[in-house]
Amino acid sequence: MKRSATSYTWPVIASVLLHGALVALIVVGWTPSSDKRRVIQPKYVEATLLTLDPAKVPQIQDKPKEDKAAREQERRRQEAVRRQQEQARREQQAKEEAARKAKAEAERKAKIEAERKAKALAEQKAREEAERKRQEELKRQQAEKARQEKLRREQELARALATEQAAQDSAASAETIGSYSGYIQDRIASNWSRPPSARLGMEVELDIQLDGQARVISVVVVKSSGNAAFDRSAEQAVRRVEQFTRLKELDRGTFERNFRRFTLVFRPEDLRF
Amino acid sequence: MNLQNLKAVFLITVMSIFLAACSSTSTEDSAGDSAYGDGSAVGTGTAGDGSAYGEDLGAGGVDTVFYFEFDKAILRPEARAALDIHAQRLRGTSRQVRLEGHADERGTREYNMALGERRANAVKEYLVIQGVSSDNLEVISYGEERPAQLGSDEQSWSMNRRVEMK
Amino acid sequence: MRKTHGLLALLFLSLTVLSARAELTIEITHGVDNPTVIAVSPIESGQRILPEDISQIVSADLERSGLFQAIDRSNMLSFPRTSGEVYYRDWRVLGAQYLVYGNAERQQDGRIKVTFGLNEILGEKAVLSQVVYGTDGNIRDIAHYISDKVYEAITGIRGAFSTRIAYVTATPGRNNQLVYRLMVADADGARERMMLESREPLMSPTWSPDGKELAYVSFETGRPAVFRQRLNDATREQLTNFKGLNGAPAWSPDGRKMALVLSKDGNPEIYVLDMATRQFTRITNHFAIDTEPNWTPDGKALIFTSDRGGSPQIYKMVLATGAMERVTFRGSYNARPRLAPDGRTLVLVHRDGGQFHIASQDLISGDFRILTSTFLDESPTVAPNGAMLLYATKRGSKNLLAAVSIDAGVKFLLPSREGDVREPAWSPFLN
Repeated sequence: MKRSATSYTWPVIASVLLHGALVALIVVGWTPSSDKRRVIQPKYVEATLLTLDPAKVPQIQDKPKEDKAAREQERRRQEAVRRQQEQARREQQAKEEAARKAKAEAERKAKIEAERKAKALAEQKAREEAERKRQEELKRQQAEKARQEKLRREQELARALATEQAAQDSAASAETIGSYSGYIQDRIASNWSRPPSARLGMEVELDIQLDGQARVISVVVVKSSGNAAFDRSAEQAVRRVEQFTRLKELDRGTFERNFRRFTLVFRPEDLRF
Repeated sequence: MNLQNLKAVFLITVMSIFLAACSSTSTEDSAGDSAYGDGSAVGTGTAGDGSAYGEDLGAGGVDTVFYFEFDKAILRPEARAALDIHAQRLRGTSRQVRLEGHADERGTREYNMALGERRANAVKEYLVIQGVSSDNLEVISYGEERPAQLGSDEQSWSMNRRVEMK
Repeated sequence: MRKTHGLLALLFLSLTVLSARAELTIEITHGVDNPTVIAVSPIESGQRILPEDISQIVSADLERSGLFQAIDRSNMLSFPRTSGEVYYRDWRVLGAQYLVYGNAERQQDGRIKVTFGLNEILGEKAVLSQVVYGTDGNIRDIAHYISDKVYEAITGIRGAFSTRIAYVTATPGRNNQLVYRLMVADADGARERMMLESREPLMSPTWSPDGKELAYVSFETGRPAVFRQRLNDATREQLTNFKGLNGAPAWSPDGRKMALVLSKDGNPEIYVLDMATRQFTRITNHFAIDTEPNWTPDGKALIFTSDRGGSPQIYKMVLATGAMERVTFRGSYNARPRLAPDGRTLVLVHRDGGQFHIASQDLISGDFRILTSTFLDESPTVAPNGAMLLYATKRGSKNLLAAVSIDAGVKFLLPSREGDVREPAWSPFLN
């Protein structure tokens, strides 16, 4: 075999992707029960920079990764800003008179501005960082490519990379999922009217299915509380929401993986007894 | 109060209940009125017994109504002064005196019944100490059921927290 | 390259299919508890108009509970009589969560057969379907029965619309002298019936646990005495005739005993009267005022008012052991306790500043809430389902009855009548 190094590029890429996808498939498809996440509603989302380890990330993943990271970054940032605004607004409404609202509004705008500046700065930083890494990676990749001679080694590497990638993907989207779960919580809680027979300690589990437009198409009681009125109040809360409009902002994959179908556990904590 | 009277009241009451239960409101009003008219006549008959002794308790402008503070049953100085005169007049006589205790509308009804009794007892004890025979003193509490003045203000309340001598 | 894309797309597809199972679990721990929006379609007879409008009575019942908001008939787009006639869209646009419908038929024997049902609008399903019989003379009973069933299906709590209330009225009569009347009415205040009339005060009505008798205090003998009276034939019996106070009767849950207050030994003490042997057993022994006894639902203890600590507070005494415990500590005036059927929610009269309000106290958690806001609220009485309570209140110089839900701020006034209305007593379940 007398092929130049470059002639290997596409087969290698294809191979890496294929294996990566396979590993992802196994990971995602195999561990639903153990992967059952109980999402606690985040009050705000901390916008930490996702650092990419240059030693482990292959070049081919760099470009889309960078974009994705930036997008993710942006979305989380916006989410953080939105939540802070909302919280500030609620407190204002609850505590203060209309006269003080103007001041709050100004503060809020200043906050947004500061937030926006900080975000731009961070984005810039992220881009520089990514570019630096990309350059480093390029060099490393080239050196490594020269050493890659055996298919077995390629496969091992690819598998390792793919696993790493999947882990990072899920880490990145955990916060997204968290914030959108919070949104679902808010929508349902504001539509949940408990019957007077509801008591602390009651729990009903519902299986929810949405259509592609995030409209509720199925509500099934998976585990009853034993109180039909309580169960029905939970079902009604979901049906009254009708559509989780904001879920449409999610990219297809995240939506399909997490929100097309999910479980709701209704367990009141704000009752007298 | 004698047993005969009681029996009569009871019979009349029972009869009126039957009437009340069977007739329409307009007619049972009159039926009830006459029956309870008789009933209350027996009630005031107790005071009538007293008047047979011929003595007007309020003679000479002596107070026969004594007032109290909220949730209290302590005699005021002016009440004690008036009661001294009453004690003087009643000592050694067989005049039957009825001490009716009352409360204002604030607070719960049964608690106010107890409070009215406590006030009437305060008057009774004072008279007994002054030498009046306790056999001649009957204590009845009406709680807040028989206000002297209707009205939900301090003026009315202060007039209702009282003991009446009859 | 095209090939790779195709492969990726295929992989992506299989990935989504496989992962389309519930992985994410979201917990809902808070709610809002708004009234349930309900529509009651007219329930009528095709043959002859019924003497009373069943669905209006049902709507009013449900609204009075504070848990429902009824849709006005004039806004309804259709009047279904059966589940098959329900067009869910008609009711969704009105915001209805539930729909009550029904049909009344007059039968050969003259009885009225009412078939009624309850459907859930958003879930598009029937929740309840039942038949009830009655006559022209008890249309209101039919309506209250429907209200009870609907209420129970939606709230999970037994309805108390078919119960009654007793109360005392005082109306100026001849010579402006007050005339006292003991009254009994439906829980909604309708079908009022006079049980007793007197020129002397009537007080403290209370129900026997079977709902067939009332006990009360009457001054008709010139002194207070405790009486019992049967509702169906008005037969009466005088139970006490002691010197001093004879008051605050309270039947034990099994109906065999009655707690009451006597001051024959000098000051007010709580006694228990054995209804069979007519023996009085003294329960309290203190120079302070002990009054207003009320039984715990298990009949093992009495809750009562005492000022033995210097101000009126609520105490509990276990009858078997005589163990005494003070229950209320907030403020300087807590009196006239009544326990809800759950045995843990205590309602009472509480003085707050210069005002008297109805308050509730959870005997387990200690949670204390003031439920009313008018200046002179008294005589709370809890519905047998524990969801509502009635009390006497004052508007201006007039005494009225009002109701409030036991855990929320839903209040309403009972239809106002002439004269003072006071001392409501909610009956037990009657069927």
